[in-house]
Amino acid sequence: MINHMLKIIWNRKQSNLFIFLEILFSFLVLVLISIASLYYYHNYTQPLGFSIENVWNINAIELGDTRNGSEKRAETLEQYMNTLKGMDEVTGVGLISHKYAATMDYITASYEYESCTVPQVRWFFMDDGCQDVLNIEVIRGRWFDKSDNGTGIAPIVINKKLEDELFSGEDPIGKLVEFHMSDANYQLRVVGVVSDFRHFGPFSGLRPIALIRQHVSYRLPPWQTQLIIKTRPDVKAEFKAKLLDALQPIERSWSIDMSGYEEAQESHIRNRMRLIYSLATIAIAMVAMAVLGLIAVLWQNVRKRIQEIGLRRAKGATIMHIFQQVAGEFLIVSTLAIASGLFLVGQFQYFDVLSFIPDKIYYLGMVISAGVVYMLTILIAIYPSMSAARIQPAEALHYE
Amino acid sequence: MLKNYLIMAFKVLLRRKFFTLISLACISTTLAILMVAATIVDNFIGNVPPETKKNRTLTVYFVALKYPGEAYSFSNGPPAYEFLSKLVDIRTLPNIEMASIATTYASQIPGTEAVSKDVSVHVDMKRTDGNYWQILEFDFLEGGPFTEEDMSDANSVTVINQSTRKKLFGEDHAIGRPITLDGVRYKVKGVVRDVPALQVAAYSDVWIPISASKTKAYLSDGHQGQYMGIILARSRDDFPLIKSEYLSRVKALPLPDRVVEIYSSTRTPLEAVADIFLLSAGTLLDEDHSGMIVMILTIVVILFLILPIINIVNINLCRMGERASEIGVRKAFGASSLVLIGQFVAENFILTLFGGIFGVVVSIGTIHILNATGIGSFFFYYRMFLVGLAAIFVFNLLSGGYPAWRMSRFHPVDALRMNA
Repeated sequence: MINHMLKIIWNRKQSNLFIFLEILFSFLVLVLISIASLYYYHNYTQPLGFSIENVWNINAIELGDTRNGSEKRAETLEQYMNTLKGMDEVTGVGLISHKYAATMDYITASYEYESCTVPQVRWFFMDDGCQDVLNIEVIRGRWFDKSDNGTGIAPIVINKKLEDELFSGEDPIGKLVEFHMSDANYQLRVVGVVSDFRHFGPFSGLRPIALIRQHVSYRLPPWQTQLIIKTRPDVKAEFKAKLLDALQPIERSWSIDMSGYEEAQESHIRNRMRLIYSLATIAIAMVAMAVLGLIAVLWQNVRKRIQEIGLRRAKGATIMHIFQQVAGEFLIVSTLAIASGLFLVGQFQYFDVLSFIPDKIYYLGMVISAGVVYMLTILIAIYPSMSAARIQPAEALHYE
Repeated sequence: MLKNYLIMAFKVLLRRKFFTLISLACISTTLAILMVAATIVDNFIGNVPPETKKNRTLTVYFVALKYPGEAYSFSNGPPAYEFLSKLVDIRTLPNIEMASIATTYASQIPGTEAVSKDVSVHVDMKRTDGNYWQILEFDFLEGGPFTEEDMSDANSVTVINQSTRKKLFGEDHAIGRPITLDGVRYKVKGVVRDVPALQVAAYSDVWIPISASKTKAYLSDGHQGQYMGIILARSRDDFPLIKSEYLSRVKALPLPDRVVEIYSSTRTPLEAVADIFLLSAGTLLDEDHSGMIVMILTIVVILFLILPIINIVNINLCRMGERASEIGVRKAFGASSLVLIGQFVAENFILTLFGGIFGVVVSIGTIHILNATGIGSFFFYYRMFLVGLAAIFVFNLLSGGYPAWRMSRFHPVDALRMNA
């Protein structure tokens, strides 16, 4: 039976080739969109490793456009921090190098421990207060504190992913790692491990991340110092005006801007969802067109073979036989197309072209897309096959 | 002859209404998506008010300092005021109409609170000079721009946009009224219509003269800061001269401490877009990536077109099968393959044209919906019709060409024998 069908398919290879290509590309479009959506969804369900509730970013910038800031910068920042600490509504004050959910803004370096090197590690500068503000979940060791002062070797906290990649099972606490960035090499001491620190927002993937201790007195460039605070949950909108009133008089030549982590996350999610929705809409529209086109093509093929079908019916084939033949041929072509599609996508996965996507998302995306294409194939086959099966032998043999 | 083709085409299209409907839907959806994408690209690189002279404009928006060491030891950022005005002095470049210096993209630098009496709103602020208002043609609702004199005299005047006026003053006129920005009082000199945030050079909520800033530190801020240079050339032909003069001035600059090389160049709008997408590699600062971005866009468009084109080819091949006997007759009476190909491509063109027109209507509708829902703010220009027409031609050739060629090769005897 299958052999017979394959022979028929081969005899009509040109028209089947285009059906094959159409199903193949529909499958590829679906794989692309489903892997992207699954990847985003998967990341979204993972814990951030910290809490954004009631956290605010205060961007205090020295006007005058100096790239490295004046001598008085650290002093002014410290005054701001002290003022903030003195406010009733504020429960924590910290200093961090990057804004929340700023996906394009990062610095990378490679880290080395004994013979193991992890390249492209994204890192942040953070001070002792950050843990109170962000409630970072430390799973081993400790967060930075005063005991790190004057040790000579800067302490770092790493995330679980970097621990796994760099230490492979060894206890990292107290170990020295090498840090390489451009021509700079430093030694750093690991003091703690956090579950994760996905400060690039809820859609960001699992990456090795390192947090390096900073202090307000370090001369860091202005674009790498963001003040963050956590407020009590009951503070009202008026608090913002109060805070600006308290901070602005400290230094007239600074500009102060305050924005919430929660707002930043909302707008980040909104923008990303818009992107995914528009791509998904385009993909679904394209596949829907292909489905309609295939129904038309298949139906037309049945009309062309009306005499053949009439002959088979006259020779005793049942309605079921005819239905099976037309639907079966199409299912074979689409199986071939899906198999080639799986093979192509499998190459991407096998050669780790997009290594940041976890394997299970690849597999799930492929399975879902294959399932959807099969369902669509059956849907497409139903009407033309039924119309073929309904053909009366006498009428068909007359057909001219 | 052509009339015959047209009549034929209509008859064929009406014969299988389901096929025609699917083809039309497929063509119009595909072209609508292409047109929306093209409109968005056009809004980045084309002349869009107030950036009406964009095709003659070069911008300087980065200065990179290279430190000794391996790759990636760059510090890359917007140029400083001193760099543009004194070190390179873009105002004296040859063959330019004028040049302006302004703070870089307003939503990327910290904004400020604008206060008028008891109302306080957060605004994005741009500091600039008088030439800015001549290079960019803003639509003034009342008053006018500040001038080069305001800049040289450091007058505390400001231009605000429509939505800021609404927030601060309601429906009232704003001219001459004071507002406080960063704790300094400014007098409103003009009100302009809002500009979409996509427009890097034009977008802001309030504008003040650079010299009227709170501090004078901008006068001696070195190489990197928060400014951009906007250079209006007399014509596009002067671009090479201006670009090379700019580069030679940069190369002639004394190197700051520890720095081994300074990179900075003037960018056309397309080059600037290319930088945004491709510069993350970090190393190729002086090179022109516009060829690469055009190539990438072309590949994306081709990939996007594959599925719809296969769909239409498939449907067309089916249709042709139906007309085998007609082809047989025409061939038997001496029609050449070329004539037949012409006929089928023409028929397909009519179909594509209808689909295309519908697609253009849909894309204009989509742009309006995007604007109305606040997702974007794009202008649709009538020049986009040309893009649409070109897309229709290409789509037609790709989707009609292969089936027509197949069909023209039918042997008349076989074709006549084939069943309808």
